[in-house]
Amino acid sequence: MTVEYATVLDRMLRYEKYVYVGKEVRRLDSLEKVIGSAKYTMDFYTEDVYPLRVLFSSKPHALIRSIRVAGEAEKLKALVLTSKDIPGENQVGYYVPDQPLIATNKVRYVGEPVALAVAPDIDRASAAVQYVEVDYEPLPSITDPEESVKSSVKIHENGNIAGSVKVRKGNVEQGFADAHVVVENKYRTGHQDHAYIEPEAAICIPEYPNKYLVIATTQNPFRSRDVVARILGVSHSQVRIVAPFIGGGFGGKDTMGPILCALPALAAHKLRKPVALCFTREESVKYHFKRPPFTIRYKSAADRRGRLTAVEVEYLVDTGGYATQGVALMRRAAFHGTGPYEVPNVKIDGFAVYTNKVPAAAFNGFGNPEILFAAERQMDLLAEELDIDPLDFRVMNALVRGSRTGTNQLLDHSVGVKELIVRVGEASNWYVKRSRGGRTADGKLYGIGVGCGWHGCGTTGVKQDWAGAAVIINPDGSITYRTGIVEIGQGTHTGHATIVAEILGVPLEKVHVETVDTSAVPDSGETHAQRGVMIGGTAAADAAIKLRNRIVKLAAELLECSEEDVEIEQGNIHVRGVPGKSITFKDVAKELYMRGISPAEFGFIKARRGVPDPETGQGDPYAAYSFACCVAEVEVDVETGRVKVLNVVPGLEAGTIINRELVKGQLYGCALMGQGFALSEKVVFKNGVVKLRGLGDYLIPGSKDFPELGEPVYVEDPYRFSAFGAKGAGEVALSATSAAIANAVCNATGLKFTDLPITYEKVYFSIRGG
Amino acid sequence: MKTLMPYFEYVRPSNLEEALNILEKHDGSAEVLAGGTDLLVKLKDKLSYDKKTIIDINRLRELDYVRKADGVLAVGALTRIETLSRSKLVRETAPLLAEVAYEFGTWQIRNTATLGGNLANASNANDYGVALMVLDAKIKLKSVRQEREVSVDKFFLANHKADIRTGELLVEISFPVPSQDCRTAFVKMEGRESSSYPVVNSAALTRLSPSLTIEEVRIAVGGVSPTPLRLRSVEERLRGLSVAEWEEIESVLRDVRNLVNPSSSNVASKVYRAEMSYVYVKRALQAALSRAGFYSSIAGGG
Repeated sequence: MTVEYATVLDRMLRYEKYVYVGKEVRRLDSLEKVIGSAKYTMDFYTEDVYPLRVLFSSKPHALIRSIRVAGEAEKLKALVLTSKDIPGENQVGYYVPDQPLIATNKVRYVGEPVALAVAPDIDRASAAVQYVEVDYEPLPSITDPEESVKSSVKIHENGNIAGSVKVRKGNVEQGFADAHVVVENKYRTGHQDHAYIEPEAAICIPEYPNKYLVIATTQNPFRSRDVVARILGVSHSQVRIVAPFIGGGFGGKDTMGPILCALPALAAHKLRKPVALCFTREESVKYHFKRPPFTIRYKSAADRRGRLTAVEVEYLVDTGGYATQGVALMRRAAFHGTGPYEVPNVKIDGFAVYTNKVPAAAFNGFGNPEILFAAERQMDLLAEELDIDPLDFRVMNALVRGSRTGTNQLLDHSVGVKELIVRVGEASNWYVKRSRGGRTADGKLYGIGVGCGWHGCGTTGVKQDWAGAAVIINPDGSITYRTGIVEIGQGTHTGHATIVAEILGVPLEKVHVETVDTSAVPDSGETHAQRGVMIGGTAAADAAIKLRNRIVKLAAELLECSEEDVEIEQGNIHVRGVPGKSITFKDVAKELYMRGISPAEFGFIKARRGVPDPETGQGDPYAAYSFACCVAEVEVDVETGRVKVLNVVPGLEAGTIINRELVKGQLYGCALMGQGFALSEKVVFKNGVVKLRGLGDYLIPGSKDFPELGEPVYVEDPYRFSAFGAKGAGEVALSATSAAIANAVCNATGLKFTDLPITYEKVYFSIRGG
Repeated sequence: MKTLMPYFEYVRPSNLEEALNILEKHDGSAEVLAGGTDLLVKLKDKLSYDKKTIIDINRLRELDYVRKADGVLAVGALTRIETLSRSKLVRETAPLLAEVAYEFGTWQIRNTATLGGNLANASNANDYGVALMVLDAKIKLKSVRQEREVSVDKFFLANHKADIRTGELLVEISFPVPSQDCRTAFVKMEGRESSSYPVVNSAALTRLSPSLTIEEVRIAVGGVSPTPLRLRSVEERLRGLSVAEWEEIESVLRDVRNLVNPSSSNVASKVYRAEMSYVYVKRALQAALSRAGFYSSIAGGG
């Protein structure tokens, strides 16, 4: 992507004339979601669809000696499938080919699919799954990643390390020698469940002759298509994935998506009937992949003037039974491990380690909330040692234009983090409030903390990143728009429609966004890595720019003026400075057809990428970074340890903000998800089994736990190579929020917490010296 | 969004007699649907279902009432939680039940959940179980063959197990209206503030003499034993104490930790639950005492 789209659009549309970009635009799907007409996967379920149930492994680590189906299953008219029924390749590994769709001779976590049962109704499918008898030979299981590294028990043939990453910059020994203060700690973060409203679901409809339509809750329709094709041994063109509205994804339906699609597809292939899979809530919380725990040893140092001199980190990602995206989020964590600060000497080593637990999933932040919790605690501790205000300390070290990151990437523009921290400080009245930190009133301790985050946009840290889009101008002037980016609630479809409407000069309501369908646009990658607008939206711009040029040329001819003088505004095309001379967009659209000029275009773009060197990690893993800063205030009940988050002020630098209300939603969502990650969300295992029954005992914050959410602070430093200069805004804020809340609890109590979540219970016993 | 549900027969009797006949006929293979807030979760989560018939009692209007007669308040089992919170009679005679409603579930849940359903579900942290214990409530159960009353203290047998026999329907909850000078309070701690299972909950009822000695006190605590607990031994030791001797009251309350028998869950460990049983019993008592006219820096509740 070498086109400076932001610059092109600036020239093309003249900045002061934006109608929709940065303005208040109501999300396109708001009404249908409020009245309940929006369709989700299971809304496509009908009586003639065969329900599928999965037999999940009950053992954390075991060999499968045999699988036997009792005769009763046949009486139920049920079909039981095992790995032997897979016609193609039994392989679903996301980045590492280590994971079967259905276990063959070994299971590596409780919840691994061992067999499937399909029947005409759910009762018979549920009964049939009970008649599958699996003879296991239990193996010793490993739950602790540190133990896994040393253990002689091998979870996979090649050992227990799924992957590793290195970053080497400068000389850390020298950096620590030059330092005035050095701080070193060991940190831990826990599992986090996505807890989306809509559980995992997919319906596969076999079509004649050997084609498959899968309607699914997937964040990656293209990867899902590829995996279904691989499992069934058919071509990409024989599989079509349709992703309707998705009731929350947060990354979980990225990692799980292909598996969810492939399970009913296999059954539909055998049965030649439509088949549906829908997890119960209990299955969802127990067996779907989760944010993996991190164990982090973090050492950092600063000189007498308060400049960071060195950062040295070694961390383990507990990726569970399979590598999944654990190896990718491990890489992202390494590339962001310094925090958004300038550090001359950096040494980072990350390892993704297998254990016999539920595998790692992508989850909002993708490794950054974990590593940056440690980084941001360290920033507070260094500031304390230096007797510098923690907010000032961050401002002193923040990346600026011309800075080089830990991977030695030169940031030549769109680096607004320093100004952001200053402005969030002002908006939150930081200095006045910080002086009250640690004070008690009515048995409650007050604390305030700051946290910063950064997040490279796109997937270039692990692979090439591209996206497509398609725009059709219909003869009546309405626009049909197609994208491969799915709508998981984040509002990206509204963002894309805004971009298309702004460029073509039509009213937003004329742009209709179609349901995502892999047969409609080229592979557009996954909906993750906050790439939906920056990369997917730029593909939309690419198509729209081509069509606008065509419209302008034709309009100039019809209006008998030069192309430079053509202005398109809200569906009207007129000649600049000549009030009466105009024509409607609709008339020009019709004229395209009449004259045989193509009214349709595909857009396609690829993100810039400089692959980091495998030995030193030096390079440009991401084309651009978004930045976040957050200040949080808390109150701690001394008698119970209960932490109440009083107030959160979020701040964001994500280039141009296309839609403020939607971005605000992302920031507030991240604030609450960060609160849960920092304080309450916890997954307890017993013998490898997740001890959760549902969402009643999994503590995502509820409405009564919400803090006051302050008006977001925006610093807009546009990125030149994306549509309108937008960067990603979906994930970056989470890292800042959880760090700010953790720092606030430490400020209130004077305790130095190192492990997340900081539960009430942990605070209670820590205050009492336990 | 649609969801998969197991197969079941559905019957909707239009009066109590019909309902009891159906219950009798099904001999344990049927389950009662009242507000459905617990049952529907079960149906969706267990995609195979052992009780093959669901008896929807929502047409049994005769079980939806709040009335007072002869100093006894009687509440029909099908009374919605939202009704309890709005009932003038409840607010005047047993404000504790309205206070519980305020902390109960979410608005959507309160609109459909029923008092009888909450008790029959018999969670060890069930809010109304705890509250009704300090009101000395009785639960009326009816079958085709007989009608019996059981004290709420004895009604809960284990977590999610209540003394309801085959063929019986929980029909009424009643208790003597506390005297005008009694004060009550309900407090609870949840892992999150909305819509979760309580870590601990506690209710207290007190009456103070003019000289501020405790004449009457009843305390119950939930979430920290297999069933909600009435703390009679603690009450015994508190009676006659003056609220001025707060240290002594507090030392009695500290013993609550030894009377409970909590288990660990994903939300809280048993050690923490035990600690919190003391804190929340204390807060419930403080709140009730403060309403009874004892104001000090110690009292005031949570």
